[in-house]
Amino acid sequence: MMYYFFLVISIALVITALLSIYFRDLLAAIVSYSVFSLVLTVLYFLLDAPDVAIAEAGIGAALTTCIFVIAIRMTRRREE
Amino acid sequence: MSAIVLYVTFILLLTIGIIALLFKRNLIKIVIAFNILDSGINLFFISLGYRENAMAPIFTLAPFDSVITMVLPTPQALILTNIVIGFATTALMLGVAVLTYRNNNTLDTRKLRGVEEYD
Amino acid sequence: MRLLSVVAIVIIFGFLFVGILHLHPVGEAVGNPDVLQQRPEYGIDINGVTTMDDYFLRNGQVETKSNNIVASVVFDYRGFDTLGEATVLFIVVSSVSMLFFTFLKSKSIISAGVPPAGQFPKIESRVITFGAFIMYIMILSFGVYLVVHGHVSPGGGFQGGSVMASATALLLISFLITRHMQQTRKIFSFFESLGLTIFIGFGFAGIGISFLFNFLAHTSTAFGRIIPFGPNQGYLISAGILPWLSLAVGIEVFFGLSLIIVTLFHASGVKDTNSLR
Repeated sequence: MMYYFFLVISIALVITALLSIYFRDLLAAIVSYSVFSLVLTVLYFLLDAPDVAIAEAGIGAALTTCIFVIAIRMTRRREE
Repeated sequence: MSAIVLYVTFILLLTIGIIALLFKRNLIKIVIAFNILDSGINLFFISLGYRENAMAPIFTLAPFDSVITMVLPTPQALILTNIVIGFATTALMLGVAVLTYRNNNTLDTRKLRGVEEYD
Repeated sequence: MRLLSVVAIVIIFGFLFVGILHLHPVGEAVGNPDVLQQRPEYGIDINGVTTMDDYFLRNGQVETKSNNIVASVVFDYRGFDTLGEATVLFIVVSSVSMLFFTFLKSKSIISAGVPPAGQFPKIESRVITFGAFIMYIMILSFGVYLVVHGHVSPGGGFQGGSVMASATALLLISFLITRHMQQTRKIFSFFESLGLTIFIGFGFAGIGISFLFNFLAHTSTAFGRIIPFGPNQGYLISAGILPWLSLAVGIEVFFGLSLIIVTLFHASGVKDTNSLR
């Protein structure tokens, strides 16, 4: 039963990771990376690691996205 | 049947991260690839310490059993540190990328290399 | 180039796949059984303990007197790693401030030769300001709850600190501090150094036996309350030195990560747009 959860969430992880390096609009890549971090938080919770899940949610999903958005504000938004 | 799909996800994330690191030209994409690599490594470490039918290593309001099995606590402690250090590395790399853009007005690694046929 | 990337994908994937076939199956995390075979003198001791993590799970509650074994591993059994991690965070925050030093020293960002990237909307909406203020207080209180209950439930210094730092982004988009960037950075820098100093101070407090020794867990004060092995309802006043270390790390992580975000935001030239009004 747990194995099906792992399978579905792992597929979602790989798809969002692929999308985040495929998009040419960097804002879409950053949003896709934020969804990747969110799905990883759920996976950490299913692996019985609540401390790591809270840390990943706070740092990966919130702060990293914030820093990336500020960085593409200072540089270009589209690739090339 | 073990959940080997977790290990396979790890090597897929590692492959995606390394390929994007090698073959992408935009600096921000390279930083995103670093972050994907980092998250893959963290996932691998946590899944190394997983036990079936166990619970989180916290004793507060735990279900009362005669034998309590818990997942290993040491990988979680190490990965907590690694997540914060990963964020710090990302912040520093983005700072350097922004300064590169200010000086050269481009983020393309081919143009930054100074090879003349790519302008 | 396409062919080269496909070949590289196949090679990397193949090597890693052959590697993971030799690992133990997911869900059966025990110690290394080969080591137990080659060194029978390690064996199984009187409590049935085979690995380091089994020792932590059996004796962590009795030795460190905390209910959260992960927090006791982070702050007591491997507290020196946490000190190293706090130092790395401190170094990175000062490095980011150093990278953007020339941007932040000049009185007007435009005059430093740096063009502001895009125009920020000059609308300062009262709804956004008030709503962000309310949400900021709620997020901060949730973060403080996570920090204070680090030794009882999932939480701790790093988790609570990062949740509190993510509220700073809310503060920035609502223009609440755009006129006071320099003072904000100075205050955050002072409190970040204070947090790391408190951590090191608690480390030196038990220097009679060792650095970062959990001296409060071996006295008979309220912080050294004896917790029997097994589930219980959770005690807030327990776990020796762990709540204080967690508080110090929470303060340092909150102000440090907020300082990174405020520095980057300040250097992106927002301050100038509002001063033109």
